[in-house]
Amino acid sequence: MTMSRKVGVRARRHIVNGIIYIFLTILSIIWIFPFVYIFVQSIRGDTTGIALTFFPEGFNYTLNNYVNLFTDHLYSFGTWYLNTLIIALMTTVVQTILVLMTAYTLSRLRFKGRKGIMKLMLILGMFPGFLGMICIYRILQAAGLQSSVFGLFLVYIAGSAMNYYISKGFFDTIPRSLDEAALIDGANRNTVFWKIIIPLSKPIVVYTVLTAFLAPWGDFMMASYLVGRGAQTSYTVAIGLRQFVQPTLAASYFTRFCAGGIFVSIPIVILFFFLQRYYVEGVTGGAVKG
Amino acid sequence: MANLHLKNIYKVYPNGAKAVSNFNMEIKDKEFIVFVGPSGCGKSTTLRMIAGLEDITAGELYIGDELVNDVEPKDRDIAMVFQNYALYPHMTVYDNMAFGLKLRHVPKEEIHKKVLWAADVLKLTEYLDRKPRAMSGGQRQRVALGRAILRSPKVFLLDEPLSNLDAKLRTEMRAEIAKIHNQLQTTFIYVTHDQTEAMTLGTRVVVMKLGEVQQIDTPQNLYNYPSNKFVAGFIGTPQMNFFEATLKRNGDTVEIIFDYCDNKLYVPFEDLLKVTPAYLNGKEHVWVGLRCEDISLEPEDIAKSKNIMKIKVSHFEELGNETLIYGDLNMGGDGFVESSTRVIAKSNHGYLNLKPGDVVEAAFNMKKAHFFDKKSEDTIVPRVPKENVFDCSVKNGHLTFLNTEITLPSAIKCKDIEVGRFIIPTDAISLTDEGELSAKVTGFEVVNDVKLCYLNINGRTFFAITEKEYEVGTVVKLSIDYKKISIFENDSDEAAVKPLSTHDTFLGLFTNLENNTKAIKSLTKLIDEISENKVKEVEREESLKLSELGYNNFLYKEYKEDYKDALDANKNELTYKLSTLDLGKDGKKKARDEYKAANEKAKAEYLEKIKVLDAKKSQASADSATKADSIKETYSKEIANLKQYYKNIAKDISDGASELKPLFEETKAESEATLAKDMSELKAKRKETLAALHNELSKAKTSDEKASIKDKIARNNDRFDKEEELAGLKAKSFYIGINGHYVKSSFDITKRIVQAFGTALFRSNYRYEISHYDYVRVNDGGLIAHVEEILDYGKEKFARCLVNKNEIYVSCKDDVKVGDTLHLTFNLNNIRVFENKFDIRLF
Repeated sequence: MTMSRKVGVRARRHIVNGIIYIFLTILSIIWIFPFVYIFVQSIRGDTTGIALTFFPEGFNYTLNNYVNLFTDHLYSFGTWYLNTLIIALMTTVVQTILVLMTAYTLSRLRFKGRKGIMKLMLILGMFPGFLGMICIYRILQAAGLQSSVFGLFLVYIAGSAMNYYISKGFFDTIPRSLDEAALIDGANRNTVFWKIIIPLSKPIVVYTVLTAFLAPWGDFMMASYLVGRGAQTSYTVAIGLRQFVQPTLAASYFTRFCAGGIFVSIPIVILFFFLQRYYVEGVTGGAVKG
Repeated sequence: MANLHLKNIYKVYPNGAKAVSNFNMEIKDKEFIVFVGPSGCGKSTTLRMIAGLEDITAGELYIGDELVNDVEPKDRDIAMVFQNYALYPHMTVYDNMAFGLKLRHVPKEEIHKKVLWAADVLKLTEYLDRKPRAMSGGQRQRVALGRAILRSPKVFLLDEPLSNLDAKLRTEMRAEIAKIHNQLQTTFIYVTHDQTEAMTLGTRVVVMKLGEVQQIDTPQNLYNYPSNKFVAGFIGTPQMNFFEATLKRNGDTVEIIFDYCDNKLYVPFEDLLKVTPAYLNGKEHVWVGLRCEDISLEPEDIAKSKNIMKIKVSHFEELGNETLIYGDLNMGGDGFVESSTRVIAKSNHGYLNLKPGDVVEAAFNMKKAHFFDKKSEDTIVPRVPKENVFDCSVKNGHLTFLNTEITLPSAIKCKDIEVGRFIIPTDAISLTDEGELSAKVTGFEVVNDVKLCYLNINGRTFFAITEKEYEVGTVVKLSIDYKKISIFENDSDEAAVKPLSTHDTFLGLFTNLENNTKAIKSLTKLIDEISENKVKEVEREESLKLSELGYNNFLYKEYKEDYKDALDANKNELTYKLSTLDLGKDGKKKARDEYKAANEKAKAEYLEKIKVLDAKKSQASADSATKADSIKETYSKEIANLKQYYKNIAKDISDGASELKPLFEETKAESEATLAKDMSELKAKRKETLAALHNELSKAKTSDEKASIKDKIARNNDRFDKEEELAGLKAKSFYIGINGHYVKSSFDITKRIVQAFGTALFRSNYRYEISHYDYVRVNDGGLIAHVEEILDYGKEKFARCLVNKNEIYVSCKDDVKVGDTLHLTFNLNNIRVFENKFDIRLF
C-alpha cells in the first residue's frame, strides 16, 4: 500500500517535471531564435538583402561583413562605435556615482523633505522619457548642444539619480550600526560611504554599472533626435546601424547590419563576464550577528 | 579618562513623544555606570545621545569640561561597542581594530603595537588574519571590544554588548568586561536590560522606565532600598512578592492587614519610623513587598518567627541549588497568575515534603519588608523622609504639638482646629543655637551625601536634614521655617495652611530685538487659546447651573451622552465575554441576559433623571426666573472679566515691545566691545596654536605624522570656529520678557535655549519660574505690583502682590506697606525656564 503510493508519487513528480522542462525548452528556443538568426545572417556570404530563409542557400559563409564594417569609408562604423563607447563609459561612471550617492543619502540621512523627494522621483519615473523629448530638445537647443555628443551625455546622466531605489533597498539591508561604528571610529560620511558601504555593496555596484552602461549603449530614441540630425561622425551605433536597414540600403547592407549587431553585444558580454561573480553573493557575512 | 555631566537632557520626537525626560546625572571618572530598564525605556537613546549618534533635543552634555552637544561623534573621544558587534565584514580582524587609528593617522608601528596589545588582552592574537564571518559570536564581540579599547577613549560606551550571546558566553564575557574596566580605569557606560549584568558590573546603576529615571544608586542600595515598586520588582530574581494591604498603628505596633485573605501581621513601630504617618491610619492601601528569600517554609524558621502566614502551595520550580515554592495567601487562589496574593518562597532544602494543594505556615521576615503607595507606587519608607507629620491642635494662633505650644507667625492665619495634622518638611527644620523647641538627637545617618538627623521630643522621633553632623545624645534647639509648613484638619484633604510656593510662575517671551514681533505673536496666540479654553469652562459651568434650574437643555444632552456611554460599555463587556472568555452555552445565555438587564437598568436610570429634569422645568417659577437672570448676569460679568484679563496681559505684552529697543541700545556698545575683545583674543589664540602646529608640520618626517598634524590643525580650526560662534552668540542680546517687561538673558540660559530650538526659539512659548528672593525694586518701569498683604514669617517678610491679577510673593523688608505700588524687575539667580508645549525644563 505505502510502497505503491510511494511509486505513484515519484511517477507523478517525473511527469510534472517532464512537462515543465518541455515548456521551458520551448521558451528557450523561442528566446534564442533571433540571436541565432542574427548571427547566421551576419556571416552570410551573399548580399541579396533581407533573406527569406533561415540558413543561407548553399554553404556560403564569410567574415567579410565584419571586415567591411570598419573598412567602408561611406559609413564609418568604427567612429560610431567609439562615440557610443565613450558616451556609455562616461555615463556609466557618472551615473553609478550619482545613483549610489543618492541611494546612500536617502537610506541613511534624515532630512526635511526626504520622503517627499522619494515620492516625487517615483512619480516622475512613471512618465515615459519621450514625454519630455521636445522640451529637452528645446532646452539643449537654447544651450547650443542640440546635436552634440556632449548634449546626449547630459541627457543620459541628468535624471540618473532617479534610479536610486534598488540601491537604496540594498543599502537599507546593511546595518546602520556599521555606519555608526565607523563614525565613532573617526570617519566622516564620505569615508563611511567609500570605505565601508561601497566595499560591502559590490552586487549592487555591479548592477548599477550594468544598467548605467546598457541604457546609453542601446538607446535609439534620444540619440536619434539629438545626434541623428547632425553629421554622420557624431552618430552612435544605434543610429548608424539604422542607416543600414533604410529601404534603399537594406538590400546590400542587411548582413552588415547583423554583423554590427553582434559587435554591439560584445562589450556587454565582456562586462557581464567580468562582473558576474560579484552578482552571486553578497559580502555582508559576519558584519553583525547572523 | 573623564567625568560626564548630563544636565536636563531631553529627547523629544517631532510628534511630541518623549523618549528621555529631564535626565540629570553626574558621572565620575572611572565609574562603571549601568543603564537598565525594560525595552523602550530610553536607556539606549540616552547612550546614543552621549555617543553623538542621536541629537539632544534640550539640555547640556559635558564630557570632561567640554560641552559636546554639537560635537561630532568622532571628536568626542569615545568608543562604543554595539549589540550586533558592527564589525566591518570586508576587513580582517586586524584591519577592523586598526581602522579607527588609521583614520586618525597614527603611525603604522604604533598601530601595530596597539593592535597586538589589544589582541593579547582579549586573546585574539591567532585570529588577526581572519574575517569576522569566520568567527564565533563571542570572538566577534571580543573584536568589537578590542576595536574600542585600543583607542584608549575618555568614555567607553557599551550598548547591550552581551545580549546576542548564549548564557555561558555571557557570563564569561561579563567577567572579561569587568576585567577590562579594572585594567583600563576608564569611565564605562553600559546599557542592558538584564538586571544580573547591571547588579554585577555597575558601580552605580540607573534604573529607567518610560524615559524617566527611577533611581540612581549602587546595586546594593537598589536591592535594599528601592525607591518605588517598579525598581523593587525589576531588581532581583525571582521578582519580589507584592501584597496589597493596609497598615494600622496601635501604639508601639503596626498591624498589617492583607487584602483578599484573612491574614494579619504585626510589626514593631520602630521598624517603620520613616513611614509617612498618613499611611498608618488603616485606610490607605499600600503594597507590601517581600523578597522570596525573606519568606521561609523551613520548620526551624517558623518555630522562631512571630510573623506566621498561611499559604496554599501550588507548584514548584527546581533550580538545582535551591527550590522556588509557589503558593497563594488566598485559599481560593491558584498561585500561577501574578496577583496580589501570590507568594514565591525560596527553599534550600528541596520540596520540604510538600505537595501542591497543601496549606502550610510560612515565616515572613517583616524586618526586610518594603512598603509602597498603592497609586503612585513610590516607597512610603523613603531613606530620607520628605516630611514629618504630627498631631496638633490650633487655637487663637497658637499651635500645640508634642505637648508643646508654639506661637504661629502672623503670616499664618489658621482657623481653630481641635484635632489636626501639622506637617513639617525635613528640610524646614534647622538646628540652631536658639530656637523655640529643644530636642534630643537619637540617631544620625548619611544617605547619598544627605545628612539626616533623628530627633526626639517627648518620645516621638522625627527627622531633619542638617548641614553638619551631630552626635547622638546631644540636645539641640530647633527652629522651624514656617513658610514651608502645612496644617490639615483631620478628615479633610484641604489644607488649612498651605506652604508658600518657592517660585512664581509666568508665561513669557524669549526674544531678541529683531524677532520680537514674531515672539510676541506666538505668545499672544497662546494667551488667546488659554483665554478661549477658560471662557469655555466658565460657559459650561453656567449652562450646568441654568440647566439645574430648568432653563436650558444642557443637562438633557449630558444625560443622553452618559446613557449612550453606558450602553457602549455594556456592549463592550458583552463582546469581551463572548469572544475572550470560554463560557459555554449556558454561560453565553447568562451573559446575554445580563447585558439586557444592564441596558434596561441604564435606560431606567436615564429616564428617571430626565423625569427629575422635566419636573424642575415645569416647576420653573418667577422666582427661578430671577435666579436664572442673576446667574446669567454673574457669568456674563465673569466672562467679560476673564476676557479683559487676558486681553490686558496680551496688551501689556504688545505695549512692552517698545521697551526693548532702549534696553538694547543701552547694552549695545558694551556687548560690541566684549565681542571685539573676545574675538581678538580668540583670533590671537588661534593664530598662536596654528602657528605652533604648522611649525610642527614643517618638521614632520613621515606622511603619517604629517597627516596626523593636519588632522589636528583641522580639529583646532573647528574648535576655534565653534568658540567664535559662541562668542558671537554671547554678544547677541536675548531677553526674557514677562508682561511687557524685559530683562537681559544670561549667556547660560541663551546657550541652552539656542541649543534646543535653534531659530525655532522665537516660535516657542516659555514658562518662567522666578524665586521670591529674585525681585528687585526699581524706581519706575518694570512689572507693576500692587501690595495686597504683608506676610510676616518672623525672620522673613513677603509681600503678596498682584501683577495683572496674578499673585506673586516678593521677599521684602519693613519699608513695604499694604496698598503700595512696587516697580519690580528680577534677576536670574534662581530662575527656572520651561518650554510650555512639551513641558521641557530648559534651565
